[in-house]
Amino acid sequence: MILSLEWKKLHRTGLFPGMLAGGLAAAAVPILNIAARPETFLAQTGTPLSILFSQNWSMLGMLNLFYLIIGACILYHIEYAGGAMEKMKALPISQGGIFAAKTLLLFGMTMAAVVMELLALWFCAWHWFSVGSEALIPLLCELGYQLAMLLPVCILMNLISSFCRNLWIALGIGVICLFTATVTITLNHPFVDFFPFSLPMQSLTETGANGLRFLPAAMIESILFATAAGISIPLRRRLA
Amino acid sequence: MDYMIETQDLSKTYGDFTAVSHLNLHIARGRIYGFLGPNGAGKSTTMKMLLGLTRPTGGRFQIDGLEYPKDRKEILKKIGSFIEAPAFYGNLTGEENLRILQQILKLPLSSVEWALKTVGLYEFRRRQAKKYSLGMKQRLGLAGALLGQPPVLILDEPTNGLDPSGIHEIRTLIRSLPQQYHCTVLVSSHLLSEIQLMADDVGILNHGHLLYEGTLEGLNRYAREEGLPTENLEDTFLAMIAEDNLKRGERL
Repeated sequence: MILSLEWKKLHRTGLFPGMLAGGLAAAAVPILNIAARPETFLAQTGTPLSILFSQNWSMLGMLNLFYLIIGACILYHIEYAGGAMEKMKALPISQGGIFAAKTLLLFGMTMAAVVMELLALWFCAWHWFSVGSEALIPLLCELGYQLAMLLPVCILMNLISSFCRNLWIALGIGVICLFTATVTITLNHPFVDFFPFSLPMQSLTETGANGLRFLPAAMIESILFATAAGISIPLRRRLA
Repeated sequence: MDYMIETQDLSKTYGDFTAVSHLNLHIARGRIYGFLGPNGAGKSTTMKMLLGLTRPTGGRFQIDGLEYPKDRKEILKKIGSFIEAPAFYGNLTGEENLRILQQILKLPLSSVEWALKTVGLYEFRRRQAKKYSLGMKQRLGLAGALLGQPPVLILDEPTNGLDPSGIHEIRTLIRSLPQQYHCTVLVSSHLLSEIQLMADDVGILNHGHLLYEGTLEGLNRYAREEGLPTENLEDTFLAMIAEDNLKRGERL
């Protein structure tokens, strides 16, 4: 019930069409990239998917994070802009439930964008490298991996957004974290590697077995942020 | 007496500032209770505590026999509220806003149409709430409070921003609610003359302290006994506040 309510609240915000358009724009990146310089791609050694991911995923990962940050900001901006949040607090509905539903919606919309990007990569593999259905399993594994990597950021960004009455503060925090991840990702420091905003910039196809060590980290971070939300949401009401 | 809302020593402090101090309200079932007080007297804080939006630092209260905080959810099901400013989703139409509330409160679909018609917003139901005028937003907030005809209504300055005819309309509506739907209304207002026209009972609050509680007729008697002006409620109210401020050593 809460999920359908949260979906209805998004009416006219443009969030869902925006996420779809964003997913399509991101999906166009690898296609345009390889179409513009096919010889560079075809001359590289490695499997077709690893070539495609190494050339595109850092950009796609960054775009996914950017969409997720904007999405989280909009999800709570609609609550604060007209004071609807105060009304919700005076109704017999759980604030934790609202948070969970918003997180689930944001996660679902980001997933749609990731699916479109992976389909585009599959198209590139098929068109330029003549790779067929054998790419399906690695791409499905990649999808699962990316969703696991995005989950902690999704919960964290929603938590940040839920704290900020002003949309620009939440957006600013998100963008700073995104830039920090973008700048520091090449340092190969454990602290940087496990930074929630750095996780979605890695791909399983590119990192192979080495990338699997990020899965438990992503799970722990997700549990940690969900616990923080579970504690802070009722606490805010108690401290009001 | 059968009280719908009762508070015992209800208090709220923020650091060393006391917003509400040992408040003992007695709001009878089926009556309109006018809550009067100057800015910062603690009216909105009290209303927020009754809605669970602010946690009391002392005392307790019961609504329809239910105890806060144990029965918080049950209490919220019984209250329609409008606090400080109208609260709405600006991207949704008036009707869509009410549908959200209707779904949460598990009310029939027809309740939305009824609420929109009751506050005179039906013809504007398909307009986005952010495009409403202040008066229309106020009506939307009121429609949200009236949705499902709850047994308790808590209205914080519900006529703010309305034009004179709108004020008259909403006042008449509030006045008719106890007879029509057997509800109890707690209403605050800065327009003291309005409370005089609406309320059966009044509570006068200053600096978080309840100065008077009782009927309007009783207030007149009380003012006469205390040597306060009795020509109209406004004069009585201002004199009571001035006297209380003097007792507290404040300059007027």
